[in-house]
Amino acid sequence: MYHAIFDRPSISLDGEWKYRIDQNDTGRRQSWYLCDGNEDVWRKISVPHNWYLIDEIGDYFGAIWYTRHFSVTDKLKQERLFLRFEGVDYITEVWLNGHYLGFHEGMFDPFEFEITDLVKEDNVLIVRDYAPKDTTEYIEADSDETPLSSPYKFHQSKGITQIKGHMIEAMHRPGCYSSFRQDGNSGGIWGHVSLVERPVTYVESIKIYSTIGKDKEGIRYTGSAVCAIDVSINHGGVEDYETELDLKITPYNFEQNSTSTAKRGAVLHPGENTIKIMAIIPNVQLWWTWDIGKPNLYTAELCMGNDVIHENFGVKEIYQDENRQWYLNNTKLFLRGMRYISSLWMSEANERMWLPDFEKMLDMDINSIRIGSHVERDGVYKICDEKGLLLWQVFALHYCISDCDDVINRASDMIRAMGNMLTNHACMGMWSVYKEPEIYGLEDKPNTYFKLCHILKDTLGQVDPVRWIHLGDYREDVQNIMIGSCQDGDMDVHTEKIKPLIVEFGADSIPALVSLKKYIPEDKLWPMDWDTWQYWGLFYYNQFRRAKVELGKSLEEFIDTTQEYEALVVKEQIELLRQKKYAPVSCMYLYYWSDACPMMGSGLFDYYREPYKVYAAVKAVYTKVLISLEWNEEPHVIGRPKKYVKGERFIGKVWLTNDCLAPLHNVQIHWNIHRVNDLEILASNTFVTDLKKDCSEVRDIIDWVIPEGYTGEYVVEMNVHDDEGKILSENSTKIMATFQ
Amino acid sequence: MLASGCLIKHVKISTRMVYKKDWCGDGQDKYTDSALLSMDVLLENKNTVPVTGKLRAVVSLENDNAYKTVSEREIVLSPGQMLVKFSMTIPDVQLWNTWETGEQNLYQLKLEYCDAVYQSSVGVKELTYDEKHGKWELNRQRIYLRGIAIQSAPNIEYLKKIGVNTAYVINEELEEKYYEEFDKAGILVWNAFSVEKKDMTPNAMAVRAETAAAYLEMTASHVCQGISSLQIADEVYKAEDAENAYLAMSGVLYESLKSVEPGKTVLYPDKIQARASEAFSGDALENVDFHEVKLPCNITNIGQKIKGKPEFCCWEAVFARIRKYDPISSVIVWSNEVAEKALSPIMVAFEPGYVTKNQNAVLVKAGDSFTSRIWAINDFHRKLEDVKLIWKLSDEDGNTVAGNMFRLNIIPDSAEIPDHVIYPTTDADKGKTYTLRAALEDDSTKLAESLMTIQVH
Repeated sequence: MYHAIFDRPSISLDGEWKYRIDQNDTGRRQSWYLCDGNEDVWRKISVPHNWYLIDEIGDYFGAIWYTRHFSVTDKLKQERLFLRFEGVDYITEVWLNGHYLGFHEGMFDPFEFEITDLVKEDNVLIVRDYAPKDTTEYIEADSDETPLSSPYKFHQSKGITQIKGHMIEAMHRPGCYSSFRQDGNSGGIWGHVSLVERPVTYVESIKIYSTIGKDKEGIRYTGSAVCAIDVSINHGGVEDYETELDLKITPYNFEQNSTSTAKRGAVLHPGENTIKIMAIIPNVQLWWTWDIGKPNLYTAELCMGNDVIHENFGVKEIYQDENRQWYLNNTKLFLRGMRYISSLWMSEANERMWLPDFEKMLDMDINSIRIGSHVERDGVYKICDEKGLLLWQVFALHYCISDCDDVINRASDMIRAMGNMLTNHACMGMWSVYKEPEIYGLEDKPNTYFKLCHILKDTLGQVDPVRWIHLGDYREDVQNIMIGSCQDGDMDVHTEKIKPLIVEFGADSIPALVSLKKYIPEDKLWPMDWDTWQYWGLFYYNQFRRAKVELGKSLEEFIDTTQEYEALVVKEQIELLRQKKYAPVSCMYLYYWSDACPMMGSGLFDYYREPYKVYAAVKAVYTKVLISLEWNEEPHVIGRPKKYVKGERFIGKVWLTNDCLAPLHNVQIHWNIHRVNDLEILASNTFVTDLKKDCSEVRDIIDWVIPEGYTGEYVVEMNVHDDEGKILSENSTKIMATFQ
Repeated sequence: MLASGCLIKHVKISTRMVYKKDWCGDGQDKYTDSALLSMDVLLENKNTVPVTGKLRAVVSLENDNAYKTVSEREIVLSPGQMLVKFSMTIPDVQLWNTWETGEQNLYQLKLEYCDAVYQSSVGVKELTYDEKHGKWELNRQRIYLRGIAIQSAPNIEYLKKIGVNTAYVINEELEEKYYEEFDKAGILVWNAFSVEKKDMTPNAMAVRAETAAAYLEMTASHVCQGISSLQIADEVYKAEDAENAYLAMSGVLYESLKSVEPGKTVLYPDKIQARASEAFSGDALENVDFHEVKLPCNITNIGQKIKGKPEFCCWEAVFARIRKYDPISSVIVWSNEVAEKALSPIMVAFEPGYVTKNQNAVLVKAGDSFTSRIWAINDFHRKLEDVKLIWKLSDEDGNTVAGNMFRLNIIPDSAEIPDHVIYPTTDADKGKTYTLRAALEDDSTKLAESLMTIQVH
């Protein structure tokens, strides 16, 4: 059963351990679990870690055994004692003093073993972590002519059976589309190991559900809320035990002189019990995304016998209408979102990484994060709670998963664990059970959508029956837009039916040379060794057939060209989607914030947090207020030069998008046209107007004949100032005058 | 205590018909003739050391010895309890249906872990509700729910005889053994959980939600279990709007029920639905023109509020049947007397062109024409072929003054108007009473009959 740690004190077992690689998987036969670690074959290692990040282990697949000694004082032995693992990737078996404690499969969820009756003063802990290659077959799915050798051509798995999502099967990982695409193993004891004390009868976990009081029409809020908590209690006694639950709810991050309380008596049976306790919160302060209000949080303090636990939560209501538009606390909102994968290797993901990332995200007006196909460490969710970032969590299934019953069983247990871990977070907005269940290179694809996805939805729904659970991309009005990457760069966007839920958009490019040199050997850089580049994420087909970038005469030129193209095409994707705000687009998530590993990826930042050019481009057009241009060119292709023949009429719609929930009065809108490198204004308009709240609309039309006398680029510059002269949005689009 | 020290403490079964996109064909989602049996199995290890064993399920068909599906999953069970998922595919599945729509196919499930054994019968069905259109579908075929409120031990054969396909169980009042009978009989169960004024304190609602969820958990594995709903008492609607009155409190009950069976429908009656429902069967509704009432899709209270006027309630129920799928998808009546007259899956019914205060008799002004549509309703999923529709309008002496008889086919799952009655009265008819009788018959049996009195004034 799921055990939450809450704010219980724990004794860390992090630090120096010993390990032994079990290359031939003989450890169990040779009873390594009976070792005491004093033999020479055991080498020192620091826990937590991921194997990949330890030089002497590297990209290893298979089993590694660990051991460490620890002492337990008499005081500790008076309580119930649990051995807790925050996270081990992927299959863990544990022995204490030669006794088998049990087994855990998974890569993201904490697990525990009770060791009360097994601990001595001095103890030997043995852990076997098994993170093998998945046994899936790979098929070569690309018949296109590329300079790649066979193992590096586009490969897809026939049916992954490990539940590791992005960490085992995705575009952007070492080996990426090649037959080495599982490389970069995320195995290892990546999370903290600790001893946790609990009383004989203790609160195992709680599930908090809050609902906002409404008037009798079911529409207007009455200003109060109900908080209902399902308290799972483990009673270690052998007889029924009468106790009282005492709930106290207090503000956590805001000032309010109020406390809500509730008491409820309960008779506990030996073993597992679940008791519901409810309290009314008058004058409730709701949780909002930062751009609408404050992310108000409460602390629930629950006392039961001599056990006291605390958990933070927020009161909010998030739902979609029938047009897939989102409402937070009855307020319609547009989600300017970002996919986030901190790292392929969770041991290095921590506040030092997250806080700068999230500060930058807030600086570019992002109000929602999509995490997947993996689960981050708890700290990320706490940051989202406190910063007011709404979260869309995708379970750890990415694509090419087997649809066999065994996978359904194991994935179901894990999605239940994910739900239990995350459901109390105020930031949690919606779930997906699988990123792309119907992407396979096979003609007749496995039936994961109707088998796996539906069972997972039912299972997660038992934990959280209220939030929306999405089954997988490309259904239920969900769309990915990756023009110039996974989609043709010459696609006519005016003929593409745009759906409301854009869960992925973006493109990809080559990182800065300084980063590239850290993982591509000098002699493979230029001229490019195609296999090496493909391994590290150059999608030959995407770059040269879809984005149609030129290789150029130097590596620097190639990097520059790909980054320029990515910056332009992603900027124009954003403009397009925001012009379609609520008609029908209700949310958009950029794929993605930063490369999760050394990789030529889709990040705004690379793995080393060096920005790609697309970062500045996105930042300029992800602002709450945006001025943007829709030019009259059919077919309407984005990310390409906008070519007009001299003497032709250029007609541009000037769009104003306002995501603020209040109208903006007396804003000054200005646009002008001039040649590149020549500031002489050839056409312009400036006017003062009001912007309606929360809308996207055309506010001016540019109707301008391209002059005969010049062949080259013009710039349409646009800006919006508020009534105090502060710039709300600045933007520009280049158009090109040609002979024909 | 078993020798292994392991128990199968609880099993919650849900089933799902499996579809698949036809990737190599037209790209449509198609039924695969298979189903997924999904079990949430709560295991307990009472030892102090882990136990490794195989969870093994055998699914067999009672009437087919050759049919057997087996699945296994290895489980390392640490001391204490562990909830695990156990799913298995059932190929060539035979679905469970309500008695009027098909067979009640049941499988035998045997689940083993070490020496612990769990056995149950299992049926596979898919009951879905399209909230936007108020549409129920059983196994992807639309179904009209003809229900009766169950307030005591039900006589299953009687329920079938009067046409009931849905048992409306209020407030956990039915023992689990009856669910087994409903499984076998092909009667769906609709569990209604009431919310009353006394539940409107946090502790009372906490207990209410726990009790309701525990009951649903206990009965969830039965294939007959189809729908749950909250039934909010009038006194709650009418109560002063205290802090978080019924909506927030009821939200907790809804969340508790939904978390037991997230894949099944839990109806949360919103205010509009509740009002319409109230209007349909209110205390002072004899003046209501039913053609003017905005009807809810699900009417769950025929006869609940009007006691001692079965004719009136019967007319309500018949009206709900006539308005099958327009928009009514389900009707629940609260008395056997009404049910007998209004819940047959084959019905012939009159619908006068107007409605009067007195539902016992239609009043016609001498000189006017009496008009009525004759409805033929077929809830079976099979065509009624070459059946005979007969109607006769007779005077007080039994003389037929008008009539018609013809043969027709009635399409599956339909409500149609195969004929109209138009009878012009004269001043000489003043004070007379006429009887209109209609019947549907096949060669050997009377399938349905209906009667109406017309008074000329």
